[in-house]
Amino acid sequence: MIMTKIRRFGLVLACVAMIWSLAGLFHKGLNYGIEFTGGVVTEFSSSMSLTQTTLLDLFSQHIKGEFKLNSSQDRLSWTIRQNDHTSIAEQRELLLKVASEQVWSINLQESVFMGSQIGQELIEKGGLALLVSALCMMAYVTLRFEWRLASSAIIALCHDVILVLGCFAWFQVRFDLAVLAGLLAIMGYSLNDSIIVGDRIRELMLSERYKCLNELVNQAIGSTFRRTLITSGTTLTTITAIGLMAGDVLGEFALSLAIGVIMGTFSSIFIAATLPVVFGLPIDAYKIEPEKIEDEYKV
Amino acid sequence: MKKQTSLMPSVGQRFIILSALMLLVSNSLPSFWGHQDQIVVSGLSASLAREKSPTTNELLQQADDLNLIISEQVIAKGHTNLTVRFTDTDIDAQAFHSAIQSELEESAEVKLNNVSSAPQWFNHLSAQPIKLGLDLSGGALFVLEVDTQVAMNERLGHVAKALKAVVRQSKLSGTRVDNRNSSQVTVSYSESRHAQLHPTLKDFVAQYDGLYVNKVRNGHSTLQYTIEKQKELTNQYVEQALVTMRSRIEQLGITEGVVQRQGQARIRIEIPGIKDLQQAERLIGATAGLAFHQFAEFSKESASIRIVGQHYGSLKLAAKPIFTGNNISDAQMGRDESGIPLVNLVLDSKGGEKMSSFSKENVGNPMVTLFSEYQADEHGNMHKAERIINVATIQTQLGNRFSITQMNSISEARELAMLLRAGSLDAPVRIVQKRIINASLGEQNVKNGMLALALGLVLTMIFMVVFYRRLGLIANLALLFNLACLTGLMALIPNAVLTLPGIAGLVLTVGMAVDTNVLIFERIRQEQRKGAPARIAMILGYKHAWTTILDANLTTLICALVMLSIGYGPVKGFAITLSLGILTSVFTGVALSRTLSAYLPATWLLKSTGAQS
Repeated sequence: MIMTKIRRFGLVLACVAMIWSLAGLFHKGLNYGIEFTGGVVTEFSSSMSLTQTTLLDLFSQHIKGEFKLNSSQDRLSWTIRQNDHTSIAEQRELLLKVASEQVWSINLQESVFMGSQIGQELIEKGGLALLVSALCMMAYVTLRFEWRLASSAIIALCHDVILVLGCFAWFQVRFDLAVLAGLLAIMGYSLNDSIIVGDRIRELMLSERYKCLNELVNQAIGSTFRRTLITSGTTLTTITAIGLMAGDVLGEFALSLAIGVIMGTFSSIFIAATLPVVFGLPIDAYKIEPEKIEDEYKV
Repeated sequence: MKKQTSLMPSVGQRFIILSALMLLVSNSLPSFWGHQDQIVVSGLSASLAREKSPTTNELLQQADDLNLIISEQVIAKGHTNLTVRFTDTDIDAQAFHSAIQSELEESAEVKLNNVSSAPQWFNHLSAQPIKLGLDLSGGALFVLEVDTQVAMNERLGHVAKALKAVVRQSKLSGTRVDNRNSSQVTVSYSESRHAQLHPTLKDFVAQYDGLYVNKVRNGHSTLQYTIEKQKELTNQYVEQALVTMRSRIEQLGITEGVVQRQGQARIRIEIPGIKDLQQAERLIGATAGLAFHQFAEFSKESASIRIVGQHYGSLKLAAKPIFTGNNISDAQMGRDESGIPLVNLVLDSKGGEKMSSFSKENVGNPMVTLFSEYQADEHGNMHKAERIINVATIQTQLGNRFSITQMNSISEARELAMLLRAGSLDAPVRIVQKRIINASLGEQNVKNGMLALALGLVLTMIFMVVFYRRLGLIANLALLFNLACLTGLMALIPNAVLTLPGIAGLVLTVGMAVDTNVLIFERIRQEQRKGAPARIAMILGYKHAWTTILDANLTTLICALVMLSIGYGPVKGFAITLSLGILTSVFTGVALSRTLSAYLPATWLLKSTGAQS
């Protein structure tokens, strides 16, 4: 019974987390990367460690419009970002001009130009991709499972995606194209976890050994728990490896995956397995399908 | 269904598993060696090339210091290929290539290739290393937008001009033809003319496929293209631009350039390892085209255009060109007797016919070479600018070869020849995205990616051995084969490119691939707990886990395929490895690990798995 209580508590927690995430999304919004907003970004390194405010003051005297400055930990590598009204050449020239008046010098590196129109399209396309894959999965899961199990798995999936978005919004982590790819991977991973628990619930229902649905669900979770932990463990390990080794380019991506995998594990137990009971899944839901039973007995 | 009593797959199944494994693993091997640059001078022997090109001479002299492999192949009698291979990847082969190319421009074709550095015998397997994306190899990325609207407007402009001529000929005074509105040609006329004008318009429209007359109100009609025709034309413009861009990249001597259509009207060009960016950018963005016109006064057609030029004053030309740059099959820079640069042209069969029949009828008449180029104004809108580069009198009947003489400079002649060879654009293009990645940054990315892969792999393997002991060894073996198969598959599939997010997909695949084995092993453990003997537990474990494995992997595959269908750049690279990784991990995780465990005694495998608790 303690398991059932924990699950109910987890479900409530998941609801709160979703509200928190949605609030973040609406209140703060996502901090889109240059692929989405369009603009010109140049990377440069400075010959000595500089503070953000020094550079901000300096550049604001020369740049009319808006611009953003970011720096690495050691305050030696910087990126400057302006909107797409300027060009790569203009920006590079400006940086050199500003630096020429100082005692320190800078070294220009990579530059990227991205039209804002493309960015807008990417946001639309990204949203569409999330929607299309959610719909495809929905179709697949409804085909394979009873609707209460299926819809719970889909809700769990939405929960995971929304939570990752929420974390990115609240902490204003840069949301770039790779993170979008990460989100799509999370959808696959989350459903993967939910399906494995769902598969076991279905199997136990067919075995007709259980009288109480909650007990059955607890048993299903218990018997898949080790697998869930091991797979989440290995996946998280490899994600950490990406974050540690290729973090300067794929840091945000690794972060999105890590949050997603943890949330996916959480939601597979507390949403995908718990919601069907709340939705009133009858314990004999799978008995009326004689073909299925026959199939299972062929073993 | 046959009751299964053994883990061992049938002979046929084992054969399939083994051959799939061999194919994929053998294809993965060249990837461990990577790529090398090589310069191929075709049509010249080494001694001749040394004689004609000082750079080649210098290069061959230093062959030992630079670790070069030099080979000569006789392709046919009198046709030798000289191949210089750079085994040392730090050498800037591109600089040598462009130097040699300019020195041997008139006598040989000089190509820069990127070849597998694996031992020669691999080539017999036709196995190639994985292609690296820009973020790993360094290079330039351009995204171009094809301005189909400008081309459409121009097309309608021609229609309007032709219509004006028809109206004038039919003496329908009081009729005004106008194409100020970009998507249509408007015709306004006095109502009394309607009965007379209408059949004329109908006949006129019939000459153009997809054009129709729309009567807006009395005294006011429009000519426009049907939506289908507009779509078709837009598509044609983009496809034509795509073909042109491909050959322009080839003209630069780059064989690894990737030119792809991206969405409706964009073209994505990836040029790995490029050094001379300025030239590439100029050539990619060039919108120049050539057309050959006659003077309006000698033309049978009445539609005309007026071109005002510096040297030639204002000329009235026939609107319809005799032929255009699209009919040119080859163009080479040359010099006339007095050393003034010229461009020698060879026309294709269609252009040759047009030229010979035209010149036959027009001996003694002038012909005008019109150069056109799109230029952006301060608002970024594209406008076509035309200038006359040449007016020549036709002396005799001409064939498919002739020259444009009196070019201003060598470089102008060279670039015009290059552009004419590569083909012109019907619709102007503009660069909407540009990204330049240093080769050193690419190397750093490869290093980081590989370190992440190694770390992820080692940790996962330790994990599996700790949890499953001897069964874990099977899983680890399957995992290693999975990576090899995935690499082989990526190398086999023509469009698959490995990028940094792709490596991340690879690393993630490592973490997720063991899930297949975990599912199976957990089942085996549970069967054992129920009291099944080791061998039966193994059989049941593999059997029961199958549907779950299928379900779980199919959902991830759906996600990966959606990513693949919409994604560009990082999304695509990630999706490719993820989706292929799912396929290979099911193969190695189920089929291969099952076969492996069939060869080992079940009791030995299941010893100390901790299941006997």
